[in-house]
Amino acid sequence: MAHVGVFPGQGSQFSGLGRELESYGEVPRRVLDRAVEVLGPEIRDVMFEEGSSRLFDGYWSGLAVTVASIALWESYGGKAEMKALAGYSVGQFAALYAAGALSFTDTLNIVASRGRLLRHAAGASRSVMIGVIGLPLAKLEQVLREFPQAQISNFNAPGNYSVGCAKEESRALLSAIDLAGAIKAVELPVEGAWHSHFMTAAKEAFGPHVSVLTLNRPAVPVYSNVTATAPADGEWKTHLVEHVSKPVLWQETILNMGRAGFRSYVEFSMRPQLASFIKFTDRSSRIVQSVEKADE
Amino acid sequence: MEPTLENIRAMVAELTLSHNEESVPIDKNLIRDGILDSYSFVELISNIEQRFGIQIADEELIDANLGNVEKLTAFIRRKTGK
Repeated sequence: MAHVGVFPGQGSQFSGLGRELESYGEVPRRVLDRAVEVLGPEIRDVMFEEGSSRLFDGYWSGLAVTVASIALWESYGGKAEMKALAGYSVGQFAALYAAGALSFTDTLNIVASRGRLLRHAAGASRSVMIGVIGLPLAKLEQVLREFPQAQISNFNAPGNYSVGCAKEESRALLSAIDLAGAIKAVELPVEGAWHSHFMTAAKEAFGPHVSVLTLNRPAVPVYSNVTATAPADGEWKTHLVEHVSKPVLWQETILNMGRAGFRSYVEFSMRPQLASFIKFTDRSSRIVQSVEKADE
Repeated sequence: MEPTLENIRAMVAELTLSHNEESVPIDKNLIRDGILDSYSFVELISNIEQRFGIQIADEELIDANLGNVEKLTAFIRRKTGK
């Protein structure tokens, strides 16, 4: 059966994930050791410390999630059944690694560069992200007409979106979204409005880092967040640059995969993050977590 | 199954860690008040669609229809005509 492998983004990390990862056996342990060789010993500290605040900093969480995703992928017995791949935001780099398009070292180094640039841009942009659950898109768009700086940054699933906005307008926007009838609207614990125009400076600075990458042809189609389709040969680098300041089209990605006949997903994460987005978008889909099958 | 408050409350309780109906106040917001996380919430929607043979459209995924057990029960009653 044809399955899709999906890789989560920031938000799927949790305190002590390194310890849990190691409990899955020799393969994840080797991946952690290799990550230390590339990034230095601090990545290990961040992933193993209980209650580490660094784990909730975008730079470190992006790296921790990438190392964990790769470790789970390498431990997984059914790689050959994966006929397509997709990652959510920073998860796209792990997806390209899994497709054989990026080397291990390049994957970690490019995620580190991206994290540094985003951290810098976030500080300068004075922007925040608001998560919205239970509001139809048309109603959200209607609310946003009153907030010209705000922009939908993540189309996760029907009724499930994130919005990037300026810090000073976030309280008014939260109230307006509540008033429009959302089940829940909350400011997300991230440093800036990722995937929106607030990150334009980071996108421009990221270009030179991506241009020198060695990017091989993916072994299976890898769907991009920017277009919700698998880019043609030679186009992935443009997508990697653009995704920094363009919305994540996750719902459309799942719909397009459904149209291509995909209904079965394996999420390479220790905690489900994409499973609810996928199930909300395609209720006939089936999603399992890779660790249920990880080699011991 | 009839769309009664007790039945819907039991369906929500199935998806909580404690499985205890006492822990599901019928007037508290299912997500905002931490009764369900977003994954359990979509499980609930799926279960409701299956058990009551209804389809919940994207534009119906709003607080007024699904926010708490009371609203959810009334919404299913309207959809099923029971």
